[in-house]
Amino acid sequence: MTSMRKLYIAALLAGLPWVANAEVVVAAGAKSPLAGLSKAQVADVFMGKAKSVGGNPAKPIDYTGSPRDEFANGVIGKTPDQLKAHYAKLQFTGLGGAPKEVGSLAEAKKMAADDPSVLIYLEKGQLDGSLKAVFP
Amino acid sequence: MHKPLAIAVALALVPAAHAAEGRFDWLAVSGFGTIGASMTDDDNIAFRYPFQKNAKANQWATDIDSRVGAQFDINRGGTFSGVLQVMGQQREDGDFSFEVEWANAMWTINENWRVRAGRMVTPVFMQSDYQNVGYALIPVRYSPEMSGNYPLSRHDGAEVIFGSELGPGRIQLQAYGGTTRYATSTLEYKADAVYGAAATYTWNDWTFRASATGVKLKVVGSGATSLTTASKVMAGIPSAICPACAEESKKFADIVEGADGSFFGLGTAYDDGTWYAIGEVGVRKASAAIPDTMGYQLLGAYRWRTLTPFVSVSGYKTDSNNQAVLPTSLGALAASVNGLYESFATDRTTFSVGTRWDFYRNVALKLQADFVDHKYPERQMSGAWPRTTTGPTAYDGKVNLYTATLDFVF
Repeated sequence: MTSMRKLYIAALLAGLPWVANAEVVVAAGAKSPLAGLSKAQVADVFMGKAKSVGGNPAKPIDYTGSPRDEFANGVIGKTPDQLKAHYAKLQFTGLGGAPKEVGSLAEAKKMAADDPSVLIYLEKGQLDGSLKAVFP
Repeated sequence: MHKPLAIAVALALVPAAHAAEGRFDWLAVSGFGTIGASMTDDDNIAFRYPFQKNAKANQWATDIDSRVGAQFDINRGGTFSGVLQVMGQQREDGDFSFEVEWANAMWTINENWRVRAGRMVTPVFMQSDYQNVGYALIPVRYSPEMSGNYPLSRHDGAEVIFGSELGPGRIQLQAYGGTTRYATSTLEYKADAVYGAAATYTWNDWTFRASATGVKLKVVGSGATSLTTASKVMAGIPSAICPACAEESKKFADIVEGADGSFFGLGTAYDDGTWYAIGEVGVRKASAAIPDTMGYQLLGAYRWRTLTPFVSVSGYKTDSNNQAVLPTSLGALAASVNGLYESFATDRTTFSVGTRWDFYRNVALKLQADFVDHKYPERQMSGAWPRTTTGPTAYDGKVNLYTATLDFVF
């Protein structure tokens, strides 16, 4: 099953990258007031431009093994290199940097469940009852 | 000089050094740097940053764009955080030396307001505050035609930053103030006041920015003594011999006592991930013996896989204090006064082509050619473009500058 799924994703990545991109969702804890974010709002939060959305605090969290390239290319609309250059600009002017990175998806999910301001991104199939999709 | 660079490169190339686990802990260490080589193709003229001493004409120079910085972040992302950044590069005495560029404590009051106090790089123009971080730029360096309008770099003081949603986009307002010092290889300046404000509006792929900065500047040190002496000598010369001397005497006295400068920037950038463009204008309104200037840059880039080729056109012009004012019959006095003014006359138009290549994680290689057309090749210019030969016909005004850089972050 898992290998079939990997093959399926690999096939999508090879031939239809925009379909693969649609697999990545942005999620918050199930009880978070954050909901119905636009692509631009997601990009603002993950690029460190916005610290709130519609008056609600928003804190991006990344984790080891996240679908980083798909998220960067498909949702933010920049390559991972371009994002790094952007984060370097923030970091070396003392105004932020890349989202905090935790060790695993499980840890990121737990943070989202505990803190209503946390936003994470993951593959759609990895959503569970502790989370709700806020984009798309 | 090469040792810190070598260490920095080694760190950048070790993927483990980019361990993200340590970030946002109470202390995080990171850094950036550039290894650059540049050369002009003309024996008559060299290139450097205006604050640097050494420059080479028609030979490769590795001490112009090369620099390395290390940053220590304390509790980054927390309510109270601190940043310390030291950076080494060739400075006004010609040596590669380290100075503290950033050292401030920041209080993040809420998601809209931030306040910081300490040392910070002054955000005069769109890319002023990160111009040293080559990795964050597409071309090899921030347009010297823009940065040349405001050669000072940082200030010790405070800054208030406000950010909020506004209409369909986001606004960021910054207000800053403090004091600073600035030195070139020939003059040392003290700014008793640096103050300004900037507004940045971002909307989808667009960024718009407007800024205004004021500076109260005076020459100090041995340069002040020479300027004061020159001022007194000129005050005593009859106007029949030197019509300009009375006015020049006052200008030279003013620059020692303190002169005002105002700086205005207006710019826009577009970045959709594939296409990138930036257009920016900067203006300096100066007083005393400092020239008024205007600079602009227009740059367009296209991202293709890991390559980002770009083209740009930029210009810089001085509107006053850029030519000889004293009759040569005054000998050494005329030579030094006229020499100072002619040193400012680096008016030019620059056409650039190049590419950035993100060939490895956290490392970018850039190649760039600048085709420069100087407006006053007959004047003994200095600053970013020191003349290495003298004489009115030695230089035809056209020079190409070739640069290769390796920019990295770690």
